[in-house]
Amino acid sequence: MDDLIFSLRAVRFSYLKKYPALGGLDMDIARGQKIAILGANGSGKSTLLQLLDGLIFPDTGSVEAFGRRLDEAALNNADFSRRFRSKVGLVFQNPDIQLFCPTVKEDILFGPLQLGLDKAKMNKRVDEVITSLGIGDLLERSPHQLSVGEKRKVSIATVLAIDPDVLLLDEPTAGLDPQTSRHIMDIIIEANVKGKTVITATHDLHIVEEIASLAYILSRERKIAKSGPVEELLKDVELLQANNLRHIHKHRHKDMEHIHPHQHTEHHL
Amino acid sequence: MASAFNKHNFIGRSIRGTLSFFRESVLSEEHASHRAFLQSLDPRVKAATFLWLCLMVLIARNIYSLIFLYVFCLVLVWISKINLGFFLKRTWIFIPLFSLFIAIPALFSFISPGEALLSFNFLGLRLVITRPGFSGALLFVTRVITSVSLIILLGLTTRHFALLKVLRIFKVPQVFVMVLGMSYRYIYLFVEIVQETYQGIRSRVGEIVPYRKGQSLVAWNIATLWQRSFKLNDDVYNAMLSRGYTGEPVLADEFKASFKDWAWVCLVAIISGLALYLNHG
Repeated sequence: MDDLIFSLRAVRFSYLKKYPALGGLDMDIARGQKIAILGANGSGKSTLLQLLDGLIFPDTGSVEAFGRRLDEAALNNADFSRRFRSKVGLVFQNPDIQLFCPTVKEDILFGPLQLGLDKAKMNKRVDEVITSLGIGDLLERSPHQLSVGEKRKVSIATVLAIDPDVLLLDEPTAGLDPQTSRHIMDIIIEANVKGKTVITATHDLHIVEEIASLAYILSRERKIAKSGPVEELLKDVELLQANNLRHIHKHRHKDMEHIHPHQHTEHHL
Repeated sequence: MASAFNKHNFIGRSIRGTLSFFRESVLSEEHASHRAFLQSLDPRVKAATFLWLCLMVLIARNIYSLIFLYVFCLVLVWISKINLGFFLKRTWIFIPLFSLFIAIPALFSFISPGEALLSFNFLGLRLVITRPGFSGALLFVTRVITSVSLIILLGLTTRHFALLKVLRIFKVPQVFVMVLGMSYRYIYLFVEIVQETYQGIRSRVGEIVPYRKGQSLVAWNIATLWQRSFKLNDDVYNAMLSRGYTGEPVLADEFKASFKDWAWVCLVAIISGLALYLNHG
């Protein structure tokens, strides 16, 4: 496949060599795809995104990116590292990690500056991102003065300012109100329409159909339980239930109480 | 119960005091965000000219020269839309701390001999305040109040992260400036964590905690905060790597001196000239 961006083979990873996080993954990701990585808490979604971003490396197995093995040696090569970082951008789950500069503007400029973009190009790109996300009034503010939704938008802006080919998003709508959540989804969809490959890790099944056409479900064993078209996977109630993505929910309608399975971001009592 | 808690709970009072200090002194940028004269100047031009004015204060030998510079500072306070009462309260607090105690002995004849201005008995001792002693003490106190006022005015009218950028004009390495900026950014996060942890403890163990238990809770909290900061350190470094950081930070240079900045530099030059004239006049 000419358009193959990432290729993972038998990837295993553990923290401190004793806490397993990924238990043998095979995956091929092509240019322009929109993919969802689905899984319950602790199933290895964030770890997988960090592997794809070259921040951690597998204990065993291999990760290939843009036709080259992605390991420490490759990223120690300044030329490859610069090209890779220009092509792949990761939006972390916690915006307080992503936003480490004293002001929003400095955070947005950080990536383009490190990657050595020329000033005119950088300013044009930053202006486009700011306009598209509607965050012009936040530029001089410090990240600690922002709401959760604003932090999330600025986090995405810091990555879009690099204009990467591949956008990795870790739980982009977690803890957001419906309107901000919708705005974030629109940004993701627009990025894909513009040709970017979008890989989103989430357990929010409500957004999956819109932001992905293909999904991978990670099991409790931190392996791929199943992959395929999103509509197909979402219909597989047993599969979702077995992987903690759907749960039994008790309802009361007037005097009648009944039980049926539900898909939820957060569990209700 | 609440008053007993406030009175006896040393840990609670310390945490609240520290947090309110950070909120009000470090993180509040209320005055810096006003749209007024000093706030609109480039921070680097402003810092350099304020340091120059401090130098003028240091070399002033004449009380009229110092009073002139102090009045100029108060005019700047007024045109920068800072409440004069608030400013005076904040600046005059420093006076007894830094200068008054040092200046008091210099008033008397045993330190500064000369023409007597006032004499009185204290605990059977005859104390004489001399004219040279009084002039020296007045000059010293005025010099301190003017310098302190200028520095506080600079701090009040400049956003703190912008002050960090000023370090760049003194050729401080970029990595050092960046680390300071990040420390400033994360102070707030840790302040929040400390506050939330403390609220969590209060909700579980109640208002009054035995002394030994309190000690162990504080120690446990310090350890947890250390662990969290260590984890955050790793995560933030990864976030930096992800956006192309290679160990040599590149920071934006947004130095843009406008007409207003140059007009301000000219005004400072004129004020300095007048202060020097009064100094030798």
